[in-house]
Amino acid sequence: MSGIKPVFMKEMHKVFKEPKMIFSLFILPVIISVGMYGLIGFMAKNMMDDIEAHSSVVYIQDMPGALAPYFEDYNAVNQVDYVSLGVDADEDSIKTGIRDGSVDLYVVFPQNFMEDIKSYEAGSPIPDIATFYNPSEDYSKKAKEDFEAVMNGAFKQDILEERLGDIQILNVFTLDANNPASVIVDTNKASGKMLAMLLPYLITMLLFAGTMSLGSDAIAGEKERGTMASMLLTPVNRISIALGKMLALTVFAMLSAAVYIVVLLVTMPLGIGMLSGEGGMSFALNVGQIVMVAVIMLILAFFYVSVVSVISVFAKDVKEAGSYISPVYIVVIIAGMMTMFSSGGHETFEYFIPVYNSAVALGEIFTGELTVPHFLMTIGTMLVLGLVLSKVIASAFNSEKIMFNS
Amino acid sequence: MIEINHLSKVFKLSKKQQKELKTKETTKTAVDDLSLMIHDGEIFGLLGTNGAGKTTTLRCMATLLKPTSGNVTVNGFDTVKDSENVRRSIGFLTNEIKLDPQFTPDYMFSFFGKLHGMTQEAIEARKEELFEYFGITEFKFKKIQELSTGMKQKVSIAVSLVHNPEIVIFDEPTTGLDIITARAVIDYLKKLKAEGRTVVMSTHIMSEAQKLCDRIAIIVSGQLVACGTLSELLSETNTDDLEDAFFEYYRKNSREVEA
Repeated sequence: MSGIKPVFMKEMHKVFKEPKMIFSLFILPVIISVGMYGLIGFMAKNMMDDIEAHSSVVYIQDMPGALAPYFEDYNAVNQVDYVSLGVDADEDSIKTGIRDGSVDLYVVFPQNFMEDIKSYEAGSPIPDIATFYNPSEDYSKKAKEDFEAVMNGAFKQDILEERLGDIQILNVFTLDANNPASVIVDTNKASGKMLAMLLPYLITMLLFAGTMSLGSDAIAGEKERGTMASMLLTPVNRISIALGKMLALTVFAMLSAAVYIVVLLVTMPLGIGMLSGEGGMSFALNVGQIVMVAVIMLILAFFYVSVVSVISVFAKDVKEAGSYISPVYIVVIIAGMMTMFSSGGHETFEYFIPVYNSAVALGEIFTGELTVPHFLMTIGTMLVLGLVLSKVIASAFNSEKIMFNS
Repeated sequence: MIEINHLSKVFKLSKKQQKELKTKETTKTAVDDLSLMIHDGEIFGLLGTNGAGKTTTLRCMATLLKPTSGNVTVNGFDTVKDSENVRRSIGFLTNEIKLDPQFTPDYMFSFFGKLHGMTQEAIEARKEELFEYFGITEFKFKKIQELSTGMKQKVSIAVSLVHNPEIVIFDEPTTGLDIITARAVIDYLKKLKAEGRTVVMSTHIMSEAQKLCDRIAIIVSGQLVACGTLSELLSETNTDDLEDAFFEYYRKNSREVEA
């Protein structure tokens, strides 16, 4: 086994002494993530600012004079150009304007609107206001929402008070108005929910992505370039060469995934937070949970490395290896995604399905639901399969047909 | 000592290879019942045309290929059953086996030294000696991919000799080298012989074999057609130089093989 160390160190050297490799493995993910989420956040904020800044064009037909003060107050803040129209307004051209986006909203009040409201008695018809807007235009949607806010807000309240004297008469009871402690929740579990859904998928996928490119080069690439044969000519046994390479690849997969995950965790809330106005994606893990996450990641990385290595060792060249690895990557992505949309408990047999079991177990670590037997089943399955594949690789290293494509 | 007993190596041909070779045969016999004995301390030359089976024979000696039938023993170790011990005692150089282009000669030399179980001090001492001899010192920290063909070949030779092997097997060691570098390699092979090492080399270059080899084997279509000292081969064919002798053997045996 004395050959493991030099082979491992050589693989390390290959990556860490090569600025291009460092860039693509560790710096590019940072740039892509920061760039992508930063851009999403920036664009979303820009869009919202633009909508806020837009001065709405609203045509109102037959607006009762009594409503004017309500709209004046509102307009002062929200910049709306109200155009009051008479009975003879050209309805068709306004609707065309809404369709093409030059007009945001068209409101038609029934004639005698205020009179009908004032003379309302139980059972008499309620006056109906007609609005026309274009939900596919953000400005139009916003104008409609603003209009509704004014009508349903102060105006409606004033009318109801006038009618009923005491508006409280509408409330039969209140719910939790004086009970601030109403919500009882494990905050860790609740905030972990979002990450529990997202992280297992990201971890299972990114670990594979890290393994994929380096793995096919380290084995199929060396076969293709003829550099593998020079190692096979040394007295080091071939299992050591296989293990040295696999260990190095496992470390790279872990490092690359760790960089991605840290960067994603830092940058994603930035983008999503700007989008939704919320940043609540943080949660705390205890030491036990961190250890379990690390163990699962390590064994998952080792399993991936063994899968990629088996494929690479049997492939004639890097290109052929790549074409076999891509479908496996899709399976990995699907396995990760399946856990995103599954809810509730899992059957015991699910912890024996490779890759999927790790994604499920990771999700359950974040929500604090993973049991020790399920954890052991998961890592046991992956470890045994990884070791079986390593044995296959070591035997393949001894096969002249495979190593020399003869 | 290397002993080759009735060595045969048969390759299966893929459909693609059948097409390339324009044959319907599903197998190709690269080496056909070849027996040889290479003695300690001699320089042994393997002559043959392209595809004659020289490289396959050398690869079987170096444990990279397993014989289809027959066996090869190197220093008493069987190349299949005891391959690690065989690899410990040989240094093997061939064109198709290369060094990682992104590393420096310095790193590669140390790397292979470690794989041969050498200590750091032993590696450094050997590095100084071989790098100095082959003139590698001045570019030892340059990446291999930036080196010329000749420089790369010098590095490959040095690396294959890192563990000071008892037996050196070189497959066309001077191919692609300029005349000065080729001379340095030839001189080094003589030096190895003087130190008591055994050298096996294949070559196309008759003058090289004539000057260098104690004994020469000629392979035609995977079969051994002659083996002996230069004077034995010349007297047997009644010729004046090795090139004529080679043609004589080739003319006679390629007809026989085809027939």
